[in-house]
Amino acid sequence: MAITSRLKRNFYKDSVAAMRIAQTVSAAAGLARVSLLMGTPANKDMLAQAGLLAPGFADASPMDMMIVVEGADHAVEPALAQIEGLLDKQETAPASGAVQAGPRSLALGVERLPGANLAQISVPGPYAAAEALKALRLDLHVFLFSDNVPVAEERAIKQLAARKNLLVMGPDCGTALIAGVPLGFANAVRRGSIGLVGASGTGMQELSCRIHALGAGISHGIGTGSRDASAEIGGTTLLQGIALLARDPGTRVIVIVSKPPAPAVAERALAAARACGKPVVVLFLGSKLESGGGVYTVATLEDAAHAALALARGATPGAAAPAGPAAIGELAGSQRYLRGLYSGGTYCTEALLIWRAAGICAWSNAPIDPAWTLPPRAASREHTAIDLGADEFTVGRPHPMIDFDQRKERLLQEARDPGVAAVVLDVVLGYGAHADPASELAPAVREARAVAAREDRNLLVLGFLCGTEADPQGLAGQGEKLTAAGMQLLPNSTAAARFAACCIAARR
Amino acid sequence: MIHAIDDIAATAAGHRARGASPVALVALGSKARWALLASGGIARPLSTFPDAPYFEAGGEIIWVGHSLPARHPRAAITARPVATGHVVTLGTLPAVTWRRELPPMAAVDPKVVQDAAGALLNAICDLGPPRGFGELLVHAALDFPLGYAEARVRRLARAYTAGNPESAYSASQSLLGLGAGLTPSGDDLVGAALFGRRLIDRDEAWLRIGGGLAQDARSASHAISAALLADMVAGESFEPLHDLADALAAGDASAALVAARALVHVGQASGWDMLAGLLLGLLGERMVIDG
Repeated sequence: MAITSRLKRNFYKDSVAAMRIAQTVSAAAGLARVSLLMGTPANKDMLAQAGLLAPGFADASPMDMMIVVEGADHAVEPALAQIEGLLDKQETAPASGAVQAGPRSLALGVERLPGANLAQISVPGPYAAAEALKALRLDLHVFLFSDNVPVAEERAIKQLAARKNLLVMGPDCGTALIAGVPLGFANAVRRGSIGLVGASGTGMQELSCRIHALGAGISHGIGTGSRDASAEIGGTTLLQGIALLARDPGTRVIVIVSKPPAPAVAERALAAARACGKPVVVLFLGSKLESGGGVYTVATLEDAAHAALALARGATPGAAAPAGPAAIGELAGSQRYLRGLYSGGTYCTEALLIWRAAGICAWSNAPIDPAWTLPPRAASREHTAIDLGADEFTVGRPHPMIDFDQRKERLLQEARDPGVAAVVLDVVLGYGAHADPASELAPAVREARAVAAREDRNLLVLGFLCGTEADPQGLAGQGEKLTAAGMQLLPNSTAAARFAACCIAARR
Repeated sequence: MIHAIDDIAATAAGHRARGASPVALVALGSKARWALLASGGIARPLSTFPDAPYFEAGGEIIWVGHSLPARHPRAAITARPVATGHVVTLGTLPAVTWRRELPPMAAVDPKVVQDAAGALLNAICDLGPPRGFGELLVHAALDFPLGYAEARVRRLARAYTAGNPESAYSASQSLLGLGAGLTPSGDDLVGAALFGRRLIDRDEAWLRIGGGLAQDARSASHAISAALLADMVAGESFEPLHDLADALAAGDASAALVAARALVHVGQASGWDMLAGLLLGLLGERMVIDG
């Protein structure tokens, strides 16, 4: 029986990875024992008892790794070489999921990963365009998460990208799903024949989850960035996205989702949609557009999902079936107002539009009518819907999909207001979102209802989940926690806004 | 062109690293909070293990990353993975921090705890195949090198049965730094045994030997494991260990089984080592002999 050993100084390997290596190597024929141990006195003592303490281990410290292989003469050296190879390999792909030190430039990254064709960039705004330019020069598509990029720089990088037939998704692009790979905030949805392109991160998340829930899937989701459809940028990425999805053999139906674009951009986008040869569902929130020529215009996220599904199945889109009735319960006489506390701007806009259609005018920090502007960080008044993802709430703080503190505080504030009948909350799951949003929100929901109950009020806390069962947080478990806390869960954003409006209508 | 987009799928995962913007936190343990307050939100790689997910902040060792198996007072859990080997700047610290304590002695009946621990021991097979010192709980042979230390564990168990802190101290010393992994099995066992004993007995003598062992671990093991052991000695550790202690204190056998199931999934063998240690601290020799 031969023994061979190696000491690796100051060498860390997490237990799971070390054990896997030991198991993998020791499975080979001719090996009796494979050990990877830190050089602690106790381990050296054990090796000595077993007759395995190599002379080189005498001065090993607890920061060093001792590798010992015992077996047939012919087997031990190859096994040791295999262990060292695996340890080096695991350096770049650790079992624990932590990211090892990466390349320090895009060029080095491309060198390390030949064939790479996309760069994800998230650096402070002033440096983002420069990084995007480097990526484009390396013939990489760009997913640009950074915001606060000057308009002129955005225009320049998008023009260069278009000349090179490359995409710049962003700046301020929160969501994309490229061939099933989520970038930024995105959900685990199945692949399918519906392609999305849009300026709305949460809108794309909601649509992809609705489509998934309806049994279909997403081919690609191309984010454009929040400012792409403005007159200054001209919808460069939006138009590229439509063209790409039109040529994609895996995409049968295209859905465009955005807040209202600049009129000229809307016109160009609609023209491109009509000419693309595939059915296109268009949701420009708050815009009144005519359907026709293969373009189907809708007013809500729910309608967009249903229309896309129908078209993908070769049917004609109809109106989505309204959500089933839910119990409103007894409201006190003073309870007359709605409050929306949204982490997604698109949800906030959709609710404002639905409420307005129901005759409910609401104040907002992101109003559809400037006359209803709520000053930054002001307390709610009458009917109010707040986009807590707006800059005024996120400067120096994590996004409300990650950090719930502001929403929890605001929920309690609304609960103390005797005029409030219902509060609507979105709960976004998926990659990038909070690991367990329901556990964060549930105590606040419970407390808010208790605050109201102490004054004989039944506060309705309405919510909806944007997510799928395949998301890291799990859809059902999140729903159960929130329901147990007293939240009334509605099937989606549209249904929640409509139900809230019904609650008020019932009071009239 | 769309095929170019399809190709992105193959490579996008390799391009998720981001720039130097502060990393958002989603959860923060109480020790990590104090450490980050002291360091101005900066966490630096440990000079000894630069590739480990453990960092130095404000003179403390903290864990920084995206995928901790369970919450811990030293954990700063980030919204996205962080690169090891580099200085990390953390974003705004959450207002709420995570901290658990053992139930107050007034709320603990040692007999109730020990009965529940015995019931858990009887149901141990429900937790799946054990690892590390967990093998002792099902009377299996210990793997190398732990097998050479079985006599030391039995000596430790006898000391706990006798309620003899001095004997427990010397037996524990012989186990520090023993076994594979970043937190050697011996450290997890010794720390959890003291954690368990602290649940039912806050006598000064046990606290004193705990302090001594935390000090000894600095040379017998390495800094990361010594820090985690010191936490256990002080009654602070991973969330499932606290859940298990709470369930045992409540005499709730089914909740204890649920918590134990979560505990044994911590690390490669750490969870099992801690479970064995906890039961040893509560039951002494019954853990290895009668179990």
